[in-house]
Amino acid sequence: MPAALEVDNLSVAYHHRLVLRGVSFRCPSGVVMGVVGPNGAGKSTLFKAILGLVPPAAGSVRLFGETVARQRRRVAYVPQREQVDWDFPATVKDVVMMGRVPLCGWLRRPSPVDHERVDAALSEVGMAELADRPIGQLSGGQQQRVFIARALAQGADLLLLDEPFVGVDAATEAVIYRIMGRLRDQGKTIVVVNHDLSAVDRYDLVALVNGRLVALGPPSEVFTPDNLRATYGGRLAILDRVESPWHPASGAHAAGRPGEGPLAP
Amino acid sequence: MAVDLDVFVEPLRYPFMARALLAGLSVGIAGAVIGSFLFVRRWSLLGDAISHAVLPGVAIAYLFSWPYFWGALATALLTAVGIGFVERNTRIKSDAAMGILFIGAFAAGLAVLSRVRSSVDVFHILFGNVLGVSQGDLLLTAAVGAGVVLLVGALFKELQLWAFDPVTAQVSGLPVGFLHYLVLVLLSATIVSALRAVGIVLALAMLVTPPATAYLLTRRFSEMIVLAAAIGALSSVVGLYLSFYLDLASGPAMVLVATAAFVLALLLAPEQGLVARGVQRLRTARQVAEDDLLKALHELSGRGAPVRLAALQADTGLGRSTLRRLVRRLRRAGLVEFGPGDEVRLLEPGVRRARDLIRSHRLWERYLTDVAGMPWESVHQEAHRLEHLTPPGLAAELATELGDPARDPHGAPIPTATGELPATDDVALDGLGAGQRGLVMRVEDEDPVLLRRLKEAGIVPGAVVLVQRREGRALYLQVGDDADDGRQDAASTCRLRDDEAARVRVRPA
Repeated sequence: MPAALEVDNLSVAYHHRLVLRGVSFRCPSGVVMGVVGPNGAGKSTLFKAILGLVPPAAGSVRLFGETVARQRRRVAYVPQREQVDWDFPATVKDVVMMGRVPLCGWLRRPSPVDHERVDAALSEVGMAELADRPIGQLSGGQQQRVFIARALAQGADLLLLDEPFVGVDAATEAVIYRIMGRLRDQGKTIVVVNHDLSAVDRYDLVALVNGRLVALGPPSEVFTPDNLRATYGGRLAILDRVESPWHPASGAHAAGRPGEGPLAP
Repeated sequence: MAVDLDVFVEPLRYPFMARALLAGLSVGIAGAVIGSFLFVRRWSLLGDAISHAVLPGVAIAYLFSWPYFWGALATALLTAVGIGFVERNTRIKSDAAMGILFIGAFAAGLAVLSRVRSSVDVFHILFGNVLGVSQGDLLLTAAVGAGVVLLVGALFKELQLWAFDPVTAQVSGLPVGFLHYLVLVLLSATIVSALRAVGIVLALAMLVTPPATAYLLTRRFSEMIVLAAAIGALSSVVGLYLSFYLDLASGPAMVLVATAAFVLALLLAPEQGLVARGVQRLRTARQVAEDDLLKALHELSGRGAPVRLAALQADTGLGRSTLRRLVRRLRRAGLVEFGPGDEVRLLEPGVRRARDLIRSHRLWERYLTDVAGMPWESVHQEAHRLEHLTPPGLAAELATELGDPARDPHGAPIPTATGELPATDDVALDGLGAGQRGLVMRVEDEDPVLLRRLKEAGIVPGAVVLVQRREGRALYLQVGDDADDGRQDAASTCRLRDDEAARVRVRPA
């Protein structure tokens, strides 16, 4: 079976500057994967490249063994909440129904099946009771759940969540992790971009990203001091890498003093 | 009745009025429909820009005697695309890009017109003359109106997704570029068709005002568009009749009606309107005052005894007339009755209401300390705010979640769901003599400073205090957590004034 997401030697440039360089990884189906790295590490760019929103400078992306263009129905993007204007006149159900728009087809009204799927998605994230509520009255966590429900209504097998925990409280964060765990158990694949390191042990698989892929694996193996230093160790570490992108992950810092960097133990 | 109808029919006997009415309707509807998209995308300024940018097209069309529609449409679209180009490819932001391009285009139009035409034509282009709509103009306007309504109706769900979340629309494979330019084309066509009716300067009003009005009145985009179209159509028709009977310029009359509708909605919208909000605030304030008065009566009356108004006034600190007005309201609601002289007595429903309030207050205090982790001494004020906003269902949920507690964190008994308030057999601590011992049952919760002192001294429900001696107006207390004499070393000593001790209720041991 092909991997849910396969990124091969992907490089992305903005304004002639490489933001991502030679990223390769495979994410099998049915896992929750975290893409973790500091702000400006190219995590969102990685998402945009996966979704085909920015063209890669080199490399390729495969979803379930095929190009993004052929798999649009199976992948859903759950954007950051700030991406939209929550004063938009719409109810919770209206927004979740938007996930069905590409499936309805042009010139067609939503069918009973569409309504069923929307209601099921709302129940899945615990928002069924708020279906008729205007979205402007939702809390941050509820907004995030509406977006997840929209992705579910679309029937996506691969969900890409962009910073879902920004500005939500700890209780909501736990709810979102619980929803993600349930979806994973149903065989969905969830990739989450997260800039901070709290609760990373909730992921099955973690990709540490800082302009390139620093490390990939289960959290227990990935979170080594060397990897964290390479990921979060500041700008100088990045420059190091730009000059020697082929260097193995821990090599460039082997000569550094132990215990330096903000996250060293 | 016939006379009334005549008011509406009479103007239509003139063919130019009938044409004007149809053109106005069409423009009102199309402008509102496409304007709703401008509104939610925050593109109102773009509407203004495009309406000004049609001028050079109109001028050049005059110059060569072309039909003005196509010239105007061409320059409108060029400007719209140009704004997008400048925004994407330079560091200039969209507001400045619009400002630069539309004023430039407008100036070019004025320059051309100044060479070729008299000022009368300029006036009509700038401010419109719906009464001069020709048969051809009307056909064109109606075609644009129908096109806008049909296309938006057919592509509504795609356009809504694009308007709300363009990135997700793109990810899910919608042709967002096509939708973007479709809206620009429809917008430009609508503006050009509105020129005859309201002119360049006022065209923006047809795009912005009805959607903004509808936005205040609805919560869904589909409803907003339909309502905006209705408001747009009505503004055109009413404005036109006003201009006919009051001899006003037709464009300004239509815009003024739309503006008046907006102001009305702003004031009178059912939930968000200024009037509704003001009324709601007043109602809440009055409800709180009545609730507080009921609780004061309940407190003063003990178990149903009548209370003199003077005592109530002293307790609540309310002015005499305010108090009388509130009491009369409570009597009308069947909660209290007037006794002989200046007395008020709580009736059974009043007792019930007061206890419901006390119940939710004390449940909230428990919730705020136990669940929300607020400090003991400061939950009273917060609970006081919440108690007025707690429907019975919520109080029941709260009680269930807390495990039906019998007492609040300060030891006061919580009335049951059926309004029973268990009798207490405690006495005030200042009534105890030297050498007497008491089990602290409750402390009065209104003074946070005293509460903090009591908490620090360990005088909380469940503690045992021993009055060591009385000195003047103060008590010296020994505080322990059980009644055992042998453990005096673990106990601490503190001094309370009489009036402070009066707020601590104990059961003598």
